[in-house]
Amino acid sequence: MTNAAAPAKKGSSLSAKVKKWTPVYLMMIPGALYLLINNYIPMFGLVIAFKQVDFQKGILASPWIGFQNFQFLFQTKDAFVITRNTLLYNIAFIFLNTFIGILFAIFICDISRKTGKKVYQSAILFPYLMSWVIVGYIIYAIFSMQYGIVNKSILPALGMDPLMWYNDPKYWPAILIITNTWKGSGYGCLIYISSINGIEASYFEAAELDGANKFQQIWNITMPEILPSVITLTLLSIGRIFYSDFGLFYQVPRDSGLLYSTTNTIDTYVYRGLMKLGNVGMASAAGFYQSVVGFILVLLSNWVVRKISPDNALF
Amino acid sequence: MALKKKDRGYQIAANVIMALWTIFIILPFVLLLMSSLTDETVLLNKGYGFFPEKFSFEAYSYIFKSGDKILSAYAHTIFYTVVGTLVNVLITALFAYPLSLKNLPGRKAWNFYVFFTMLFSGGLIPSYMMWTGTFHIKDTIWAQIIPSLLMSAMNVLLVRTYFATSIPDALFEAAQIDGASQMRIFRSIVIPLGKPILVTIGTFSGLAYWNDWNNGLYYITQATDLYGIQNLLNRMVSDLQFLTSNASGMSSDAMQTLARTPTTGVQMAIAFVAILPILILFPFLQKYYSKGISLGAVK
Amino acid sequence: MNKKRIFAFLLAASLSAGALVSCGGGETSAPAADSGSTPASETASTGGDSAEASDSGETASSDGVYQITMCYPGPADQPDYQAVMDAINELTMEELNMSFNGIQLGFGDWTDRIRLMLTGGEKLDIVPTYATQASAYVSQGLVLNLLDWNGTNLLEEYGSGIIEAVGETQTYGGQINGVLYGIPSQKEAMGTAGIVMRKDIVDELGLDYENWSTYEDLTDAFTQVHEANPELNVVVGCNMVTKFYPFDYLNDSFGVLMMDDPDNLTLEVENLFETDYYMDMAKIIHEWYTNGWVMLDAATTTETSSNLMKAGNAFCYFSPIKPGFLAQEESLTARELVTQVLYPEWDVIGSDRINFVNWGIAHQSEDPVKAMEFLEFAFTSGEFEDLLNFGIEGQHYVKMEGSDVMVTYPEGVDATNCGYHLAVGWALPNQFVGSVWEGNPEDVWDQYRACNEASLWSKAYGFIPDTSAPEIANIQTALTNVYNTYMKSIECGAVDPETIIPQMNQELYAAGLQEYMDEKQRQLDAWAEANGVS
Repeated sequence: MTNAAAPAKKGSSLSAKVKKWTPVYLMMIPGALYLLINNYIPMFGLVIAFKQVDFQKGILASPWIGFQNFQFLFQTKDAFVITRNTLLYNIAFIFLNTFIGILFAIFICDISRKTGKKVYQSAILFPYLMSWVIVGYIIYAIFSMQYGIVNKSILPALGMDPLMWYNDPKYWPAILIITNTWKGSGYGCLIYISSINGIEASYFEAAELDGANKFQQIWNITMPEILPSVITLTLLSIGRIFYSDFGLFYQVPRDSGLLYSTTNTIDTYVYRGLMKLGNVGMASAAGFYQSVVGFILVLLSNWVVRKISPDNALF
Repeated sequence: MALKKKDRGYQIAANVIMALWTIFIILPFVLLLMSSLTDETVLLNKGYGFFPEKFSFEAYSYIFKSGDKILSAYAHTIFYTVVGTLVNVLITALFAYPLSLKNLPGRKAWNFYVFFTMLFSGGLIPSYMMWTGTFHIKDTIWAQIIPSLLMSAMNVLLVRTYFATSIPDALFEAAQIDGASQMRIFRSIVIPLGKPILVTIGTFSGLAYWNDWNNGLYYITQATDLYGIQNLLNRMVSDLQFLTSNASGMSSDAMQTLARTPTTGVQMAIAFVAILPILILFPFLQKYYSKGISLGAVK
Repeated sequence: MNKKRIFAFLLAASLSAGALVSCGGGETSAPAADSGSTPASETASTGGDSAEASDSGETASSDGVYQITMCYPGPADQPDYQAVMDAINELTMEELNMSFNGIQLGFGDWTDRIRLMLTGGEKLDIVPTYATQASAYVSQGLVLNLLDWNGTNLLEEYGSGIIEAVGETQTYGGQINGVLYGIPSQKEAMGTAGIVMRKDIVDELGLDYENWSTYEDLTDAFTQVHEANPELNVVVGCNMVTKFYPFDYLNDSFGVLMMDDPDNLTLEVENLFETDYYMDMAKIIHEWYTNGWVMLDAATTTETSSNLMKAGNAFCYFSPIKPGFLAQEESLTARELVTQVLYPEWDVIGSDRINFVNWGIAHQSEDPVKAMEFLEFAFTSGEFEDLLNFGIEGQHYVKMEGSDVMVTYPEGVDATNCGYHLAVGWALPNQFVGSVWEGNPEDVWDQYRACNEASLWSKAYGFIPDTSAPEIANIQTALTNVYNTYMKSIECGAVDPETIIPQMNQELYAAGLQEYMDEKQRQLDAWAEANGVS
């Protein structure tokens, strides 16, 4: 919106500005306050990452120990494996979820049969209802070595020997990526559907009159219109690129040690090493590290976006 | 969009792909349902399958043995979901609308303010200390509604992006020239035109509330009748996991305790019970999605 | 006019957010009542009897009576929870002039929840500390030192009854760096374990199990069982390599004290994974696995062995064995079973077998002296134990005829409809002062005590290493990850130990095993000197 109230007199501009924007700021109060309380205040806890906490003294009075809490993240060769896994999986997820999300959103919006549309739209969100624990059970029902559907029914039917799914890491990148797409693609898809629904129908009508084919319409109308949403979602995902969905990487492979080379991520590593031992300092350090890396990556990508298309930058 | 003859091929292709994907998505649900209906002995001996050799409703009768508890947990979850979602959508929209105004003073800083919370978090302990120590929400109904879920930074940014791109500037200009206040613009332009995204984030928020068990886990210890359905489910499951994974260090009394907790079939049944209302409700929500918007309607 | 609207709207909006946020911001005692009333009206339609539970017992604190808040684990779903709490409250008022507020937590989450409650600083007095958390609790100051609270020896001054009830050895056993973090729950601790088999198959094949005592002895029998029942899993369950063990874990598996020679107990820390014991056991299990006797999904299943047995697809499994075990197991699996103790000489006790769940005092306790007095009461009162464990006499359990200690369900009540039945004596303070549930031998507690005493106690009993120093904690994390990578697959025989164990050792050393063991040894030596052990 290019502004409207374009102040006629420069002199009273400040008071006019205050008058104009006050109601807008007031609207922001509940949300801003919630973030302040729910997110910003607890951030004082980040100091735990640099302390050896003693609750009898209180968090703030506990001794500082510099970066000692961070050491465990880097000291062994696991560091490479978990970082690589986390990054590669996330990159794969970002690409796949974006691609499938957009593709399905376009299909769903274009499909003319009402019932079909409804069914598909519900279906893509269904897996969202499942907790990872349950997804873990389903995957187990399929791949369990002795009783799973694949080993018990499918492979014998094809005349093949049963495979040791939970003992061999090579199957898991595929299983995890497919599982994640199965469960997660609906999210982006729904966002894109709403973006497409927000496009003025007249654009398409005009394009149709000009004789543009489906592909041209998608490329020239739909894509540019949903691009801002795609960029926002992608930037947000990049910010969390050092995080991994704990449930996916822990519950789904059932914590099978033999699979760690392809299933261990930063989060599962931290969980296994710390949660049972209860070291809050190290857990906090891990989170801090993940955030900082994500933060730097987002600043970089946001900077790039701003260079290319300032309107689409996050901030 | 009108269907043109030349689009036939495209329509068929799109339908086929979506139908396949739908089957791919539904099959695991069927497997889940079947497993929950399979006799426990068969499940352990023959494994999982789409066509159980022997049906059994034992798992479900186990769950509904504590019937009123389940119903009350449903009722609570529905209440949390409805209230939480409404508030969520409202404050998200109120927050996102100003952020979408390109000339809002301090816009960048505000965006950053929102975005920053997605990356950095103080962790559970300080949040817990604040919610219980300062706000005393422990064992109250607020515990299930307020922490973490009331507004999501991600949703704010998505809604902001949507408002900024999908609502034509011309409308705002026209409204301002008419002398409409910001509040009025918000109510009569932003909300109706933003419906697709608001319904979408409402869905996400609703699902987040429906699926949430963390708040109950952290902030409900004694008033367990405030548990939602996921808390009941999760407690059963986590009891079992703890006992199984620590069984080696335990006495055989512990093993007895373990043997009394529900097993696989029951867990699957519980999972199914937890999502059932949503499966029933979903089709009714549908109509809100598919509505495209024609600009003519708003003025 | 527009403004009015804006404000009306904003007011509504911020009320919904603001009111929620600031709710209950008043005095500490208020929230239960205060927030109870608000939601009650809102939830009326959604079945809101929610408020009642939250103000349980909070009332008492006003008139100078101290309220004890105690957390304990137990199975979910106790409909008569409130009635039992009231009964306990009555008892503690009478005996101690303290009111009681019990917080029952689920097994799966009690460690997480208690940690949160301890760090959050809310009202809390008595907490159980789970073995693996102890070191962190102590180093983070989450629980009090019972031997030294600002110069006061709480245990000896206000809780000496405990020493009498559980004996000196156990009372003082839960110390880390001189900090006594808790008193262990009383249970059978001996390390006796054995094989549990289906009687029908044993009879059919005429297996002479009475003479078995090692894994080697089982091989022939397993061969026969497998031939006769090729579809059956011969053995189920994981952790088979270390199910029977002649060593003191010293709190984790990294650096242990071998105890396979009872006449020559040492204080020398060794790497378990380089011992012949470990390799030999692992080889046998791997052989079983390659023969197809072990359940393929052993490492990943969440089914319990007894459940698999019940379902009929297992011939045997290994389990700790204690007095009254067979009868319990048979009722559990609904099958006739036989058991045979294996490696009877490896009945060892180290600190970790005694200190499983230890009861201590939260750092935020408002009155640690009162808390200590209560703890003494909890460890000595049979009435308290029975109430907490089995509920109200006459309603949830009754004494069996002709016995003072045996109890069972009342007429017409059973496991499915009993309003309160925890039966987690092993995780409550002192089941030895409580009643004995039907099906156990009447003198089961004495038998437990006798068995505990007859076991081979580690020289290092009473020593728990402190692994909280950042360098050591760092190494421990790395070691834990290596261990997790290989442990399950070795334990259930899925991998060849001759290649995998050396590989695991190499990785463990790379992760700092030597340094870790050295630190353990150093602490152990210091402890031994201080306690006159040699």
